[in-house]
Amino acid sequence: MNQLRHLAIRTEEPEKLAGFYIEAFGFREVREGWPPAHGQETRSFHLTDGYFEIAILANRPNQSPNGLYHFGIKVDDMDETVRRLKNFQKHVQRRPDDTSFAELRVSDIDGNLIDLSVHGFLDYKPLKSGEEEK
Amino acid sequence: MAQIRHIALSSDDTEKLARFYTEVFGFRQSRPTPEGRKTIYLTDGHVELTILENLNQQNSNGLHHFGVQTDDVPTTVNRIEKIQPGRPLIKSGSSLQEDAWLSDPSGNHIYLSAKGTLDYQPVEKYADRKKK
Repeated sequence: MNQLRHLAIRTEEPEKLAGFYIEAFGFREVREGWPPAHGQETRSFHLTDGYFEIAILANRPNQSPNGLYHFGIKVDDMDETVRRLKNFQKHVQRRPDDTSFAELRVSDIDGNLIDLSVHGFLDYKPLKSGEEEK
Repeated sequence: MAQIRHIALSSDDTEKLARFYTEVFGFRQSRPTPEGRKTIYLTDGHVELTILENLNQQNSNGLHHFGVQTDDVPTTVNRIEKIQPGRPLIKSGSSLQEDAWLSDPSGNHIYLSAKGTLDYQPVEKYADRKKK
C-alpha cells in the first residue's frame, strides 16, 4: 500500500520551529547535525514521530513563501505510479540530477507538490552526492 | 508519543481531486462525506488525507493544515502555551479534552486530537481489542 509518510514546512527559522515540534510533541531528529544545504547558512531539520517524517526546511528571506510546502508518499512501485499519474497529466517531471532524497517530485491536479519515494523518508539515502551528504 | 495522522488539502473540486488520490495511489475513503458537504476523507490506512471543500473560495487551494494525535490534549496544549506564551489557541473543539486548533511559531495550523481523525485506527485499536 502506498503510504503518506512525509510533510515539509519552509521557514526562515528552522532551529526555532524544530525546537517547537521537539518540545511540544516529542518528535526526534531522524539524523542529528545535518549540515546546511548548498548555498544555505542555516540547516534544515528532519524530525519524526517514529513513522511519519516532518521536514523543517530552511528558507531564505524572500526566496519563497514560508509555510506548508509539500508532502511525501512512499510508493511500492514507481513505474506503476507514474503510469497512473499519466492518466491524469501528460508530463511527469523528473527531478534534477543534483537533487537528493525523494526520487520524484510531482504535483496533483490542483498543483500540490508531492514527493514520491520507494526507499522512504526516514532512512535517508540521498540519490546523488549533494552537499547535504558531505 | 504524539503522531502525525492527518493532512488536509483545500480544493474547489473535491471529487476530482479525491479521484486522483484514489486512482493513482489507491487511497480509500475513511468515512462518509457529511450530508450537504463536499469534503472527502481518504486514508492510506494510517494517515488521513482530507480533501476540504474550499467554500466560496475563502482560502487558497492547497495544503491547509495537518493533524497530530495525542493521548492527552489538555497537557499538550498547556505545554504549547508555555513554549509560546501569548499565542492563543485558534479555537478548542467541542471539548478541550478531545481536540483543539492551534498554530506553530510560524503560523502553520495544527489540529490536535485525542481520538485521531480516522474513524477506525487499523493498527493500535485493533491490537488493543485483541488484548481485551
